[in-house]
Amino acid sequence: MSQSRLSHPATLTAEDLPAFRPALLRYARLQIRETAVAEDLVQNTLVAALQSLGSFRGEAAPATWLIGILKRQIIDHYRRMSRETPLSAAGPGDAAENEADLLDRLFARDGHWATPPVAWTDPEGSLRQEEFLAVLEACLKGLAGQAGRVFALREIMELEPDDICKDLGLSKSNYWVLMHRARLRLRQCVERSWVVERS
Amino acid sequence: MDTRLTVGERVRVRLHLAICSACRRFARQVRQLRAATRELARRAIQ
Repeated sequence: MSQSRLSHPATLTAEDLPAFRPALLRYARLQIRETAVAEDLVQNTLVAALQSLGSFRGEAAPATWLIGILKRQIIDHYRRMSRETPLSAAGPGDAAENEADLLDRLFARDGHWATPPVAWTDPEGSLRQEEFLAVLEACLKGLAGQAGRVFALREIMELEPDDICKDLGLSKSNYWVLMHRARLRLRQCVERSWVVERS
Repeated sequence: MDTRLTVGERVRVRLHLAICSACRRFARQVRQLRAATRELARRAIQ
């Protein structure tokens, strides 16, 4: 897709929409594990966009406008998923033992670090930065369940914590626990591929 | 990173970080994860 189409807000026609599909799909795939679901959400986004083309005023770039619609689709999907898997129930890949394991390995009974984090090699230089992003992208796909959803809403879609709580029906403290859990898991996953390879 | 802390809380966090190098490292890594995640999102839509 050409840069100019993305950065120059203008008119948007039905014929323009398919060109945005790959970018929308890449964005959806960052936060939706199942390819088929991501494709459905992108499809719904394009249909919704087609129906409201008239309301596109060109204040934002077309891509930004479309991403806004996609975000809404993803949030609604998360909301449905969140109703199906309440906080107490472990989702796939979300096994409670793994959770206890992770915390046991990281923290001692007295709350001190059992395995203090090792320093990460700084992903300086563009090649290293690319490698780091590739590792992170793979790890993001492994973030399952409500913790993964909270992380995506906060760090990918950049929603405010209060809105995330409303969308997923979480209390503030549920939110903190889930966010912390997601960060611990992600950090551990990244560390496995990143530091170990290089130390 | 996600919420405004009271002055008292901020002081307690600072004091704790001052004596806990593992925590400083952890905080740095969390910031690094955030920056890199947002970079991935930015690239996806380009």
